[in-house]
Amino acid sequence: MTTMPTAAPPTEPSGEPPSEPGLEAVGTRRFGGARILSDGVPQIFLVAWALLVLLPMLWVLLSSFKNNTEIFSSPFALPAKWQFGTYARAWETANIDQFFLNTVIVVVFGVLFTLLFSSMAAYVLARYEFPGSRIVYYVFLAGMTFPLFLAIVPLFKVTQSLGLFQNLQGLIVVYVAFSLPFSVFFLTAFFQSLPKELAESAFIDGAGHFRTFFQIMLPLAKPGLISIGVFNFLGQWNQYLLPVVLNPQKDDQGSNLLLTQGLADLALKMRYESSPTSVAEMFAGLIIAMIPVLAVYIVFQRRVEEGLTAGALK
Amino acid sequence: MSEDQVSSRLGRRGFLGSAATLGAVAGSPALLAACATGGGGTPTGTENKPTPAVSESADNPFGVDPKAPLDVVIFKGGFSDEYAKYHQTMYKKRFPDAAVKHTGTQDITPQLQPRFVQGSPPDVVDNSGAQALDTTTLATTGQLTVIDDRFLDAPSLDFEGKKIRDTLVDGALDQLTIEGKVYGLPYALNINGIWHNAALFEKNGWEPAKTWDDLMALGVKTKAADLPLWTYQGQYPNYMVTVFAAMVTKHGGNDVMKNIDNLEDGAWSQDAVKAVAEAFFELKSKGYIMRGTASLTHVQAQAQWASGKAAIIPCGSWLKSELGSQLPADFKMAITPTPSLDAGDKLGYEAIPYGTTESFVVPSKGKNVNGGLEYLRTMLSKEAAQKFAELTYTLTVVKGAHDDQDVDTVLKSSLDAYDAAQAAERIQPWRYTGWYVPMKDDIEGAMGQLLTGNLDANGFVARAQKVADRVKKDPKIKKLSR
Amino acid sequence: MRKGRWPFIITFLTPPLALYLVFVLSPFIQGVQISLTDWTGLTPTFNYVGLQNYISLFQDAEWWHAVSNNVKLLIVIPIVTLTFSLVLAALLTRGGTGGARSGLAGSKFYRVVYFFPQVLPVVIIAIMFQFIYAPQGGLLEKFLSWIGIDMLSIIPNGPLGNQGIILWAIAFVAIWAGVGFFMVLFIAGMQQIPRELFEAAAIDGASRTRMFFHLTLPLLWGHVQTAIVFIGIGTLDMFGLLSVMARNGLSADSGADVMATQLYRTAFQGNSLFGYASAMATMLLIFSLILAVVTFRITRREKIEY
Repeated sequence: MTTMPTAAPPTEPSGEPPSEPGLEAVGTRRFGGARILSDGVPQIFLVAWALLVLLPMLWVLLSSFKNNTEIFSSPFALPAKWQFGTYARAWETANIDQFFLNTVIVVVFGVLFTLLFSSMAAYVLARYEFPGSRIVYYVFLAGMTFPLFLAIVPLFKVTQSLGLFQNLQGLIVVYVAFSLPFSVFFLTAFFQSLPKELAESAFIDGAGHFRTFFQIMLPLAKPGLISIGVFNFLGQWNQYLLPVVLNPQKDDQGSNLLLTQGLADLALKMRYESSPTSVAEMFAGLIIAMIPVLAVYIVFQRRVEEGLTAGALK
Repeated sequence: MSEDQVSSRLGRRGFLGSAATLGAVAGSPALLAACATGGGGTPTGTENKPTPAVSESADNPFGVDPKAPLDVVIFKGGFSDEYAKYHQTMYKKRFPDAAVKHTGTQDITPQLQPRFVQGSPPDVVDNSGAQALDTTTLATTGQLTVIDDRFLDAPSLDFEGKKIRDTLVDGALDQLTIEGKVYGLPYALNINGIWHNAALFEKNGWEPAKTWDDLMALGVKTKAADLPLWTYQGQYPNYMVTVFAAMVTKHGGNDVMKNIDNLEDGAWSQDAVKAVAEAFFELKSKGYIMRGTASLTHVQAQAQWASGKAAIIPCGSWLKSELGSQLPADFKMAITPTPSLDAGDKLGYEAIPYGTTESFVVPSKGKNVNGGLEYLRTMLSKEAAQKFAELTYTLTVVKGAHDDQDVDTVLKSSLDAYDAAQAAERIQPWRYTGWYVPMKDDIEGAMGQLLTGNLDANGFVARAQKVADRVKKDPKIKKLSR
Repeated sequence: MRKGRWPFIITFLTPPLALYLVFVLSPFIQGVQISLTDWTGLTPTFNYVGLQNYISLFQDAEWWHAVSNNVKLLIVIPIVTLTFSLVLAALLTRGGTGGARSGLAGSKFYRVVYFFPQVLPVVIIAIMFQFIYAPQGGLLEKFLSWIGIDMLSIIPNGPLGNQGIILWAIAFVAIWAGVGFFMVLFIAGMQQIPRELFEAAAIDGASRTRMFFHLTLPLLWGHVQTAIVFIGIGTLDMFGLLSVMARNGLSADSGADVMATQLYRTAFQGNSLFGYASAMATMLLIFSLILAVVTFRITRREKIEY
C-alpha cells in the first residue's frame, strides 16, 4: 500500500467554523436544484426498510409479554393475558443489572484507554520521522487482519500469568490491546491531515513536545477521536469471544460476566429450562439489554454521526 | 490460598497490574519466546496414584484430609444442579471443616479447558452437555484419575456390608471405560426409547407399535386423525441416531455396532444397517414426520409433542424433567422400546438401550483427588441416588436404590421398561460417539439428510462409510477398539 | 523541533507498543507456533510435527468446502450491503447532494432507525432471527401464511433447516445488521462534498441521478474503499451469527460451515486438535491479509482532491 489513505480535513463552508463539520452547516442552507427525484418512490423504499428493521424488534417486544403457546400460534395478536412477570424473572435469573454494570465499566475504560494509547502512537507515527517508524506502523496495521481464534489459547495463558484472568481489568487491557491496530491506523491518517503550522508555531512559542500534543494537537483531533470512540464502543460492546474465554463465570451469580455472556447463557438456559413463558423470558432479557443501548444511541445519535463524518477516510 | 484469591489480589493492584508487571513480562523471554506450554506433564498412559492425606479407615477409605477444600463443577443442563447441592451437603456433613465450592455451568469446555492446561483443574467435574470436554483425550493423556480397585472395593456408604462395585448396575461404567481402564463414573441411567401419550392412544384405540409394520400401520391411522406420526429433536439428530443404533442392534445383533465402533472396513454396509436406513427413509417418504421438524430445537420439538402436534417422539428418560411445566395435566407420558424391524430380529422387542449420562470425573491433577473420590462414593449412596431420582425423574446407576422408592408414574414407566429389558439380551452401548467426535457429528449430519429425504438409504450408507474411512485414515486421531 | 525528540517518541510509543506486543502479537506468534505441533489443547505436553497439519488441511475436503462458503459470502454480503446502504444514503440526501435535513420527510427518523441493528450485540441478533426463522410459529412463517404462502411447502423445515438456503438466510441477517452503519458512514461522506460542485452541476442541467454517479460516487470512493475492507474482514469472521444460527443437525453438511466455525469445532468440540485448529487459523490470517491488500489494489483510483 504505497498511498496512505488520508483523513478528510473538516470542511470549511464559508462562514462556518471548521470545528462544525457536516450536518449543521449543510442543513441550514437550502439547495435550490431541480427536484428530479420525487419523494414518492424513495419513500416507499425507505418505509419498507424501516419496517424490515423495526418489525423483528417489535415482534420480540410484543412476544415478551406472551406465553410460549401464544408466541408460536399468533405472532401479531395481543396476548390474552399480559405476562409482565417475564421481565422480573429474566431480571432475577439472569442478574442482568450486574452484567450491565460490568459491561459499562469494561467498555468505558476500554474506550478511554484505547483513545489515549492509540492517539499517542498515531501522533508519533504520523509526525515524527525516525528509523523503524514504518515497520512499527505496519506491525500495528497487520493486527487488523488477525483472526482472534489464533491467539485465544496463548492469550489466556498470558492473562493468567499476569493475574488478568477472570476479572474485568484483564478484559479492559485485552480490549484496549486488540482495539489498537484499527485505531492507530485511523488516527495516523487523521494526524497526518492536520495542518503542520500550528504545531510548529507552538514550538516557536517554546512549548515542548508533550505540551504541544496535549494542548494543541489533541483538541484538534477531537473529531477523529469521537469517531474512533464510536467505532470502538460498538466493537467492544459487541465482543463475545474474548469474554467467554478470558472471563469465565466466577460464581453462581456470574458476578463477573458481561452482557453478551449473560444473554448467551439465558439463551442456553432456554434449551434446558422450560416454563410456559420461557421464550418470553428470553425475549424479555433481550429487550432489557436492548433498551439502554438504544436510548444511549438516540441521545448521542448526532455525536455518532458527526464522529463518522469527521473521521471518514477519503 | 486458592488461585482465585491469588489472581484477585494481583488484580487489585489496579489497572494494568502495574508497570512493574508489564516490564517483567516484556523482559521475560519465556513469555515472548512463544513457548506454547510449560513442560512437566505426566507422560501419556501412566497415572499418578493419589496419596492419602490421613491414614485410611473404613469410615474414610481414601484417607481424605478433612480440612481440604473441594471444588465441584456441575453441568447445569436438563437435570439442573439442585441434586448436586444436596450431594455436597451430604459431603459437608461428614467433613464439616471442608469448604465445598459449587459451580453450575453450561459451558464446561470454555470454563475448564484453561484450568486443565494450567494443571489446576477442579476436584470433581460433571463433564456433560453440548460443551463437554473431550473425555477420550483427557483420559488418554493421563489427566483423569483411574477408577480402580481401590475405589471399587471400598465400602459403600449406606448399603450395609457391600463394596461399591456391588452397588452398580450392569455396564454402569462402560461409557467411561477406555482400553480396559475406567476413567470416571457415569451417574444417570437413562432409558432410551420412544414416547407416546397413553391417554391419547387409549382414546383412539391405538396400540404402541411393536414392529416396523405396526408402526407404518399406526401411521395410516394417525394420518387419518390428522396427526403426524413422528417428530424428533431436529437440530440434534443424535436422538434419531440412538433409535437407529438400537434398531440396528436388535435386528443384527451386538456385533453390528461393534464393527462400526472398531472402524471395520465396510461396517456401514452391513445388512442390518442398510435395512434400518431403508425403514427410516420410508418414515420420511410416507410423510409421517411432522413438517418443519428438522429445524426444531429439542425444546421446541418436545413442546410440540407435548401439545399434541405429533404422536411419537424419541427421547431418554429425562424427557419429563426437561418438559417441566409444559406438560398438560391430562397427558400420560409412556415410554416403549424401539420397534423390531421384523420377525428376523436377533434381540427381543423388550431390549432397550440404557445409556448413562452425567460423566463424573476426578481430574488427576486436582488439589484434592481423594476428596473427589470420596464425593463419588457419596453420590453412590442410596440416599444420594434417591434424591437424584426424586429431583430429576431419572434413575441412577446405583443398583437397587430405586426399588423401594416411591416414584412418579413416568419414572415408573422407565423402571418397568428397564426391568422388562433384563429378560432380553442386552444392547451393548456403542462407543464411536465418544471416541471420535468428528465422526459422531458427521453421522448426525448424514442422519439429518436421510430424514429430510436429501439422501436415500444407499446414499446414507455410502456417506457414513466415507466418514468412517476418513477417521480411520486420519493419523491425528487416536484409534480405540472394543 | 528536534530537541527532546527521542524521550518523547519513546515515552509515547512504549506503552501502546508494549501492550500490543504482549497481548496481541506474541499470542499470535505462539498461535502460529502451535500450528506446527500436535497439541490437543488439554495437556501440558506436545510434539512438533512440522508442516503436517498444513498438509492434512490441504487434503481436507471439508475445509475447502468451508473456504468456498466464505468466498460466496465475501462476494454477496459486501456487494448487497454496500449497494443497499448507498441507495438509502442517496435517497436520504437527494442523490448525495446534501439536504439531509431539509430533504425527505422523516429523514432524521430513518437515519436513527436504520442504525438500530448496529447497536445490538450480535448474539442478540442471532437469537432473535433464530426465532424469526422458526419453522412453526416463527415470524417469517406466520407472515407468509398471512399473505397466503405456505413456507414449509416452499422451504421444507424453514430457512435454517435447509441445505440450499441456510447460508443465504444467515447472510441476510448480516446484511440486515450492516446496512444502517454503512449508510450513516456514506451520508457523512456525502455531506462533506462541497456544495458548490453540485450547484455548478445543477446550473449545467445535470440530473440528480447523473450527479450521483458522476460526482457523488467518485468523491465518495475513499469511504467505499474503507467500507469494503471493513465489511470484508467482518464477513471472514461471522462467527457470532453462525455459531448461534447454524447450530443444527444439518449444519455439519448444510453448507453453513465457514472457516471460523470449523476452526471452533476442531479446537473446542472435536477430538481437541488444537494444533490442527491453529493451522486453520493461520490460513485464515493469510486470507485476511490477502483480502486487505487485494481490496486496496482493486479499488485504488486516482485520488480526487476537492
